[in-house]
Amino acid sequence: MKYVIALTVALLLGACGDKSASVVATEEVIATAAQEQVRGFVFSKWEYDIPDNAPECPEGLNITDEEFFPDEYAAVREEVKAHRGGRPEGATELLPVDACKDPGAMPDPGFKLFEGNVATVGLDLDGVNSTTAAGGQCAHNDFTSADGRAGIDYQYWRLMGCVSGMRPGGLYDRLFDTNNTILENGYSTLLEMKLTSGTPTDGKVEMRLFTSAGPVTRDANGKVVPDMSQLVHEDTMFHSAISRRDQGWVLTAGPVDAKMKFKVQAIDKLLLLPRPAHRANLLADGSMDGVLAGYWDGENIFDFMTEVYIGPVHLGRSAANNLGYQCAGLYHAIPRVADGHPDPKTGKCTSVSTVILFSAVPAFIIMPEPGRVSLGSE
Amino acid sequence: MPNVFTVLIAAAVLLLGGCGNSDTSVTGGPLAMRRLTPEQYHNAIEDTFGTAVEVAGRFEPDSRRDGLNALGASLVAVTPSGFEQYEAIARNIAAQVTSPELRSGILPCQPAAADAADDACTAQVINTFGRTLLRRPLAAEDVDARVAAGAQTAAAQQDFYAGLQLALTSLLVSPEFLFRVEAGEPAPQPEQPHRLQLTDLSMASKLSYFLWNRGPDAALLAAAERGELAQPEGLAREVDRMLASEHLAAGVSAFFEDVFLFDQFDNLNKDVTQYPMFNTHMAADAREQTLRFVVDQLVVQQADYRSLFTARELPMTRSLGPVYGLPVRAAEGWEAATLPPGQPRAGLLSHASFAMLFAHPGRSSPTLRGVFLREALLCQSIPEAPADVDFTQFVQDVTAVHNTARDRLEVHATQVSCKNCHVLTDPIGLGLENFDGIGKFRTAENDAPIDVSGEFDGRAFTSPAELGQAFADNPQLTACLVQNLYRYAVGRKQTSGERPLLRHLEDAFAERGYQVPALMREIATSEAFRTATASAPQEQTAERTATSRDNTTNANAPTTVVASTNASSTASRSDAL
Repeated sequence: MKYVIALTVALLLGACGDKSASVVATEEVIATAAQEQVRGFVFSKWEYDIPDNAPECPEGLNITDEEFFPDEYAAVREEVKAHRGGRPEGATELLPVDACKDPGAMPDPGFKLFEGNVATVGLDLDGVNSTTAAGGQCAHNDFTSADGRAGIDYQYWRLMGCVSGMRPGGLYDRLFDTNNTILENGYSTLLEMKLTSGTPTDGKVEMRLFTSAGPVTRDANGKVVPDMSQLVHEDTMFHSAISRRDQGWVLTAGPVDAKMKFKVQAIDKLLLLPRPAHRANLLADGSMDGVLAGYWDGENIFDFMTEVYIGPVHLGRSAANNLGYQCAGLYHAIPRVADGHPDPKTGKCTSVSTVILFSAVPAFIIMPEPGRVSLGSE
Repeated sequence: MPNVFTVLIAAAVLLLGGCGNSDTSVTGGPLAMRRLTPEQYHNAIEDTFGTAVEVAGRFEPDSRRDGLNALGASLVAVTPSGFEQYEAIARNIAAQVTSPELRSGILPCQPAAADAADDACTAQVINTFGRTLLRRPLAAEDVDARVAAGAQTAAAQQDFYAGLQLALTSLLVSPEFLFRVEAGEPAPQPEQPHRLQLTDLSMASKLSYFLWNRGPDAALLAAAERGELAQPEGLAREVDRMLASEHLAAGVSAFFEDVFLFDQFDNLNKDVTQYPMFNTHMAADAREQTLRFVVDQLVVQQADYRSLFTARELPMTRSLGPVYGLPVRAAEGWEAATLPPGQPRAGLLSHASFAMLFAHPGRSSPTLRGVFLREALLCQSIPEAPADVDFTQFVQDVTAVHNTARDRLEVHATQVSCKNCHVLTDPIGLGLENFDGIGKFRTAENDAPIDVSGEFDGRAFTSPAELGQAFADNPQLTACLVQNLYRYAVGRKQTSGERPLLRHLEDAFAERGYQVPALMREIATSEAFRTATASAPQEQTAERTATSRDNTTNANAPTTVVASTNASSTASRSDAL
């Protein structure tokens, strides 16, 4: 992944300056926005952090249901063939129980996790350079970033690093290259930065995430048009986290969790990211590259991956076969890599540290209530 | 011996003079005959048949003369291929009007039998629609010929509506529909032996197209038929009614669309590698934005014309938001926005429409912008570039010395062959260099800072907003508006004899606080607007007729003089129908 982190959020907010007054519609809104130093961005791209240099998995990649149950799938194929290519009624009943619908109904078939290190661009979410050797609650091995930062928490890669569809050049990589999750979607993710106190260089910063109520606008090159107005989704469910800058460039989450709407292969997904963290790099053209990291709720990961519907038809197993894993294996593997949000009763972790890379361009964020905007740029 | 109309006109002149409403000493120039513009054609169809009928087809292009299509419309004819287009459009409209889906909601009558001719119904249709299309009551011969042709076709095809289609098509290709033909009656005065007085119906059309950009409504036609437009009080009453109408917005918009050369938007293209956010939707919004802005300022707010160059309020759409760097709440349609005070963008000169229209496909053009501002807004003439210009001297070059347009245009200021004209255009065009080729604000070009300071007719400016203020304060701006509006109203350049009138109009414009509707009223009620000077006998085309077309208002007038036309081929083709 070509990804550059150079500047700080402080620089980003410092760039607001007097320009903020030049881009708002009314004097009243100008005064409010200038006082609050609010800047808005819209995601122009997002993707998982799939390290280009990820080493091979020594024990090979995970296998699919189709490979695990070859005889059953062969029987279905024969049945389909007998019906001249049509899907005969009840053919799927020849298959084993669908663990993507009912993950507890099948014993753990095993799941290969990614071992070793790879350079990622995530964040140190827990402030500790964790190792399994050191033990402790939800012990795990952190990664080291390409720029030498240790303690990077990215257990989601441990989980998915040996799934063919998540490997470099795999299905997800190709999917994200098309960027149709942003460009052909009915909504995008909005990011609002707000200076709440002090100066842009050392003051308190808040960040909020929203799902937009409409699609991005593309230019003639298929890129997202900057400084377009984006209305926030009126459902407050999608008015997400408030992050505060405690120190330096990392914004860590406040008490509110992020709920973001994403679309993957035409399927709407709800991504729950409790207490997200964020770092960003403001580029010369006013756009932003950033990392959104946090502990992804384990149950939501499974749902995100397997709740695939086209109309009433549940296609989670087809999706798993395409990506290269078994739902039952994934279900049982998630607790093994979980490194966040320990259950107070059991002590077992329930969420998985993850990293989402994003690019964003300046945008005017229009809140559903009148008179509230975040500034883009001119 | 003076006839009764001469006496009436003399009385009207005296009355108007007494009210200070017009310059009594000036008679209008020659009669004009103007081809309908595409928008006027659309309006006529809408007024006649309603909004359900669509106008499908391409019209012959307008011809711009002396800065206005309105003047070109007086000089154009209809070519044979152009007439074929008119005929195809007319047949299509007639087919829609008589179609089973629409006819019950449009036609004023139903035939006794659908498979046979019904002369009474055909006559009713022709009378009803003909009055709106030809902008006058129809004479018997206008109706009879079309009823006869319709009956013949209906009988041959055993289809009443086929016959009606033919009759309607005949109306729609009539030269009297496609052209606005001014007719005048001799009303000589001792010092003006060739003075003509417009007929009441010609006056009605001239008024309505000037103020509304569409044909006269029923009330105006009725007033004309009652002879009220020949009376100062009646004329003033109708003008005031029209100025208060919602149609005035379209009239004002049409005038400024003409002045601003906005018909060029139809062929506007941009290099999307340079301006990837540009698209035709954005261009259409930019065009409409400026016209909405003008109407809001001048008609709704009755603002001073000069405020167009300083006003910070403007209508906005979502697609234009990124160009102006403004948030727009409405996903569809228009909403009011205000440019923040203290910013370099203000007034017309900073509108995206001008920035994108007067620019090259891949870059801005200070020269094109300067030429437009001088010619269209100040009525100054800038000669065309010499044929042997070496344009390679001006192409974009990112070398250190040619980063900005100012750098690249230095040659204009140094070469004598360029300097004389470009000294007029480039300084003010460079003052708008903060706006790129689609109007987006910028402070640098090729990483070099843009210097927008300059001098406009002796007044220094340092930003586009200051340049706008300098335009607002320039007396030539309002004088040019007066000239353009008068030319637009009468469809021709002013004659030398009309110069005193223009000076009078300039004074009146100032006295009325530079309110454009007030200036329109001044023109519409002026002596020059409703009179004309007959051309020399060898040049004029005069029809000596029984004046049947205007007999309700001028039963005693023995002659009618009409504007000459080049559309004889149109007339003969039309008559053949």
